[in-house]
Amino acid sequence: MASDKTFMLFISYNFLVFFLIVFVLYWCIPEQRWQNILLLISSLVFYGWLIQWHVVFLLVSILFDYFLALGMARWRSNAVLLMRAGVVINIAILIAVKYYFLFNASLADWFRQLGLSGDVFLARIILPLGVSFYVLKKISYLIEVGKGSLPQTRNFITYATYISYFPQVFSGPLDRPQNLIRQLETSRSWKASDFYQAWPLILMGLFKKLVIANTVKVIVDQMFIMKEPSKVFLLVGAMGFTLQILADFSSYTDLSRGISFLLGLETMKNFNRPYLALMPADFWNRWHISFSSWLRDYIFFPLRRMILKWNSFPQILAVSIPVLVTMLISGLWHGIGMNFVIWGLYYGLLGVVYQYIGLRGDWHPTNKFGHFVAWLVMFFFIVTGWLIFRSPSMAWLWQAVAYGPFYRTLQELITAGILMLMIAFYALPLIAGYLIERYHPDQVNLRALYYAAATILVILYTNSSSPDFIYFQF
Amino acid sequence: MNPKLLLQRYVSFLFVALLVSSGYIGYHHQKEYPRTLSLQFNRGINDEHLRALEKAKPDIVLIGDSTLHYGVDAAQFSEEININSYALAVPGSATAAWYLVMKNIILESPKRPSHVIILFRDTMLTTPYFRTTGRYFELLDDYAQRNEPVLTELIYKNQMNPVERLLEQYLPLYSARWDVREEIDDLLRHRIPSIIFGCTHECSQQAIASVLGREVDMVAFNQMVNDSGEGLYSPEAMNFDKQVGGSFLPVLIDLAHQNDLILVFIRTRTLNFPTAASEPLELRKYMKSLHSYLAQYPDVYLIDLSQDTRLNDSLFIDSLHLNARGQEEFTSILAEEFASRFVK
Repeated sequence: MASDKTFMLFISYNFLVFFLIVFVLYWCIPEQRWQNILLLISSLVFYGWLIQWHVVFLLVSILFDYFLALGMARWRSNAVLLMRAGVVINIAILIAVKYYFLFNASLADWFRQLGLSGDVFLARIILPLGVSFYVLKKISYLIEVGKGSLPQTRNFITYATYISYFPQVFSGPLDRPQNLIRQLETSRSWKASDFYQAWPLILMGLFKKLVIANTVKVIVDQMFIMKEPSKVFLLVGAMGFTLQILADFSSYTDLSRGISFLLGLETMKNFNRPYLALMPADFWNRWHISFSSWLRDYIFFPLRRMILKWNSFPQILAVSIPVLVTMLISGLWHGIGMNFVIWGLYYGLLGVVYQYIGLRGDWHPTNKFGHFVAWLVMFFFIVTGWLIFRSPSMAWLWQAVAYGPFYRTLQELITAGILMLMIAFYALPLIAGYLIERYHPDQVNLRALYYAAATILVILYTNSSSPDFIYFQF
Repeated sequence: MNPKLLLQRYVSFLFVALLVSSGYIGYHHQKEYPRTLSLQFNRGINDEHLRALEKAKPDIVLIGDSTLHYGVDAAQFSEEININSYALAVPGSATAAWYLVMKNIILESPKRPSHVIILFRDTMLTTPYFRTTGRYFELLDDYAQRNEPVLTELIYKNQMNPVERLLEQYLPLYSARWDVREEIDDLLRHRIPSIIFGCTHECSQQAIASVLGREVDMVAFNQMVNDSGEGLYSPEAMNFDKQVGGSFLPVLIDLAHQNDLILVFIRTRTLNFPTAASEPLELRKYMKSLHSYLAQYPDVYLIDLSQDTRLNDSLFIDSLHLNARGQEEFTSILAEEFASRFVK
């Protein structure tokens, strides 16, 4: 159990106490309206735990969208215009917050000229956490209300709870308003079935984070701080990070969903065995599903519709541009730096190439060998993608790929073998879980044994301090 | 699948597993329960520095982490102030290690120095848990005696929450987790490789040490250091009054006072906050409180070099560490500051 000194992580003691209080109070309250008020207050406490002014930032931005949506409902003829204005402002906020440190020195100077302290803009720890996530939630709400596919939520508490909902505010999943707002508007009572859904998610969330992600992180970090690594270490680093990021991010989602079930709310599934994907589109339908479906609905489809309207547009561009732009935006959303731009474009290009050679939509190999080859090729692309994503810089990666030897000494080869063995060891529980689910879904004893073993490992791997979740930084 | 049945079976299996593991661990590790909460150090003190101090017999000892290693040339410093000095740099260390170094190395050397200079940055002096877990714990082990009650109190008991205390005392599987993990680690690092690669325990250990101990990419390393250092800038860490009581600062001062040492704290310059205006407001308040606190003690001094613009960007390898020219410049500045205060 982490005694966290910075913010309230799901795996911290602070969170355990916080959630127990919320949980007891929540189910003592009979009325849905008061339950929502409690959820909102607790979400704001949770969000402002580290830096209180973040709550002000969050509340102001929620109020802005709330009144904008009220305006859309009132002046239907201008709804689209208001929606566009809201979307643009939200995107501007996102860009300003995410990219502020590129120009923070000049901002600080400007503030100093005004006689104000520049510390607000210079300490990078003040970056409003989770802004990348809740801004996207706000945008999807504005678009749905603007299009008229979702009635505007008159109840401010409900809307504010949807945006600031504490199990999702830092790292998603990006639940759509149609799902979460609708549930927040209906009455909720305690059901044992919710608990039966929650405990395996919470257990596996803890397991993936404490046992797998935190342990593999140590190996991965060592690989990516090497000066001029051999290719064999790039491979170890890439394989390790492939495991680490899945375990880390999916653990957060599991914990978030488990906590939501305990509050009587069913939130969106975010992962569906992404590393079994056969092609890029398939991967993005399985990885960070709430985000990739957001990109699909609000960027890819509108862009493709817009391009298809122009008859004179060359076919190849009409197919390529939406994929490339969508994936580039995905890269930019994930972080600042050339790595993320190239990572986004890399997936964009892969998507285009797969489409171009006819592997699109629900394509599926006809035999097992074809299936295996398709999987292997795609898995190679996924691992390469994570290598680009995790490398400290493109220059570092280029140096290692272009000029680094495969290995320098026998000792390097032995070390790489040992590290690969360790990575494989920590990947085994995930593979075992998948095999049980696939081949013995009704074997109660097998599954109970699996969960009991996972609990034992969680107890063994609990540290007094624990690294943050990777997706917090986005 | 019946979810209720699944839960029942899970609880039963877990109960049996805990019972069996408790019995096994209690027997295998010869531990008594409930356990007394205390840190156990194993290795004994690494006497490399002790022997060096015996040989050098310095009047001044500088303590610090990698910023001391990269930032100060002890020979140049000695020459400029004309007093013999020794730099005891422990990369990756913080106050817990500095306390151990002072108690178990400096004060144990046959000729004690007159001055101890500690190089720190920002809130390090009052963040006792900083760099004390995981791999950093192994580093502490190098300088600790078997029992270190102050460390037990400040970095162990004080940092544990009630659940951890309960588990540590009553759940053998939890209290023996480091031993079990070491066994798993040994299996993966040594025993399985010896079967697969035919590489013995020593061979795999040498291979790992030779590869993982080599030169690192400073940009990537610095990013990692910065990430791990963020705990120094949480609102809690920057609240001096709240932190000082449970920190090593009063302990270090007491230790110096009891042994007639003059203690000099040097706040080093980093590029995280290169100007006073760029510092978070809370950090500025923290520094004011630190100044006032240390001013109470006659033989304790604070020299703040964090805003010294003579150390410009070109003298840094990364945001924390100085390059060779930077080392020369910083050593001169330090010598000048030291001489102006302490050399007659």
